[in-house]
Amino acid sequence: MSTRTLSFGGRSSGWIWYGYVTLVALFLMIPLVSLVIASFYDGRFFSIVDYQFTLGWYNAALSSGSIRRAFTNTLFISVPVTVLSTIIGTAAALAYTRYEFPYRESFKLIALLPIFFPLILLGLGMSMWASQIGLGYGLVPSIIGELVWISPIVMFVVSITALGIDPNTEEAARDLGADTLTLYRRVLFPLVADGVVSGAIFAFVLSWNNYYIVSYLSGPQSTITTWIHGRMTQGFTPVVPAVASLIFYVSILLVVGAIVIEYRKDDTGE
Amino acid sequence: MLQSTNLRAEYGALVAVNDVDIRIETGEFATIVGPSGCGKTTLLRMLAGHQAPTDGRIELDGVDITDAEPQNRPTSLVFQSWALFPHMTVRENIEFPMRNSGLEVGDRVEELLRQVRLDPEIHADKQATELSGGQKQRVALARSLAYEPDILLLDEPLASLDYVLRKRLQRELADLNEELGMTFIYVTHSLESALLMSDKLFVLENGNIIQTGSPEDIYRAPNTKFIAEFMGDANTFELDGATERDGSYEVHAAPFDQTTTVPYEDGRDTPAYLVVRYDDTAVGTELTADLGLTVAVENVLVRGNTVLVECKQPGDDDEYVAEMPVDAFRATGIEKGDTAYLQWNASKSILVPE
Repeated sequence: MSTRTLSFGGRSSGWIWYGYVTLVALFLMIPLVSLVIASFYDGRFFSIVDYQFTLGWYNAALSSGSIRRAFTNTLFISVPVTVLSTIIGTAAALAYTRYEFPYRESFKLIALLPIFFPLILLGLGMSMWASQIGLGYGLVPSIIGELVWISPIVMFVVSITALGIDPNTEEAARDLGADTLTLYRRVLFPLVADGVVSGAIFAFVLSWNNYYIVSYLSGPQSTITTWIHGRMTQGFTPVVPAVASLIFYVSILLVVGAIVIEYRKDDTGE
Repeated sequence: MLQSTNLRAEYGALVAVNDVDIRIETGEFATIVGPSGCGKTTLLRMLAGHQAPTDGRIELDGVDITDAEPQNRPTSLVFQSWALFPHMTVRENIEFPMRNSGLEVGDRVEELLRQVRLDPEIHADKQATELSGGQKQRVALARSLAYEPDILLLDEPLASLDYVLRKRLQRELADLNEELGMTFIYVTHSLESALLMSDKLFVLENGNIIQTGSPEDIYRAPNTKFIAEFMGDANTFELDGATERDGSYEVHAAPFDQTTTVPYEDGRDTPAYLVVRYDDTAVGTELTADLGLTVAVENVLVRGNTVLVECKQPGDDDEYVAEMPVDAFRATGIEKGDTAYLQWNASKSILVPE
């Protein structure tokens, strides 16, 4: 990926530019950073003046049964959602980008629609349906609900990679004697693999952080996000920043992983 | 022998290929030539099996292959974009068709690379994306040859290469066709490729084959004004009189004073145009050739060792061009703005029907 970037002119305008970027970055990061700082703060009410470090809240969080259960529940949702939405989204992306069929553009619009729908309404709608069709509430309905929202996002991410492949690639493979299995196994899948990995990471992070859909569909099962929300309505406790930071660490780890994959690809000259 | 009968392709109301009959002998280098949008690529895609014909038949050595899938027919297409697999090395690209059809790999990759003039030591283990345009073209060719097709189809694979490289690869393709005895079908809008490489030409216009023959035959006796102009830069005069006389025609056109007699093949429609190629035309201060007209020299363009002399008749918008050797033009002493005779010998005139 060799993209040419504009460089920002003279020395003084350069400083203004970097200063601006730093301020924006700070503005975006402060809530997250303060959360992390608070999670290590030894005391009930956070104060920056008289800071004392402790790992106690993490200890409390990890030893609490209800928090551990919330983590396990979240994993029970996120892992299947990641696998299934990656399969569904990749298939849809390949269909949209690599095949001609009637109403192809309408297919894309309808498939991507859930992304742009307010999550709080999507969750509400799903919740109404879940009781109507007797699906009920719990982990499985949460998985199904998240799939509706996350699969289109995977489709979107994989489509970006798939659109970059020479449109003659499949025909060339067929022409050289490849059957459908060979075409997918040796040509198409390797070419979209990077997009699929990115899509899967997206899927996991979005599912891991999801609140609205699970809040409507998880019923008696609490996930980390619903646990945090529930805990906060009962009043603040410093365990909350620790739990929230734990979610954040997992997400940031995956994002860093995605960046590493991207950089490694650049190094191999692709 | 590859034969198509009434081959037809329609996109809704548009007829891209209109009941085309072609016949290509084994080992021939056939070129389908025509301007953009004439249906040549559609025709090629139907031969390769990437597009189902609306109607008609394709037969290879008597076997009907009209409905055979691309992976099941002994043709291989070299794409305009080459379509190399970017995640594979050169070697893996070339091995791909061999593995698909269960051919022995052995030293074939090295052999094929040498055949397309690439050094296996240097290039075999490069990533496909690391190659230059000309190298990609060669690897795409080697990959198609590795499939051992009976017919190699080429969709303007040289179009995006620079002039010198294109010239060289044209020669190499012609040599390869001879060396392998494999049938080559080449599609192009470029006249120079068509003339240089082919045994047989099919000229396509609006989905119809309007002339078939050797490049020389078509160059000498184009069927229509369109082909005459397409086959080479030429001046065209609309005839205002044509009388048959013993297999020839006595013709006259408004811009020149004389009448002239030009041989004309029997069985064609009455000639409607007289065509003379730029390089058969000259300018001079005196009328020394058989036919000529008075013109004003509008512009003189030097093109390497020849000049293009652009002329017009006063009060007329039609532009005529003479292409002459630089020295011959200098010797006339004619300059831009002068009045001169645009002239040519009668034997260089070509008559074409409407």
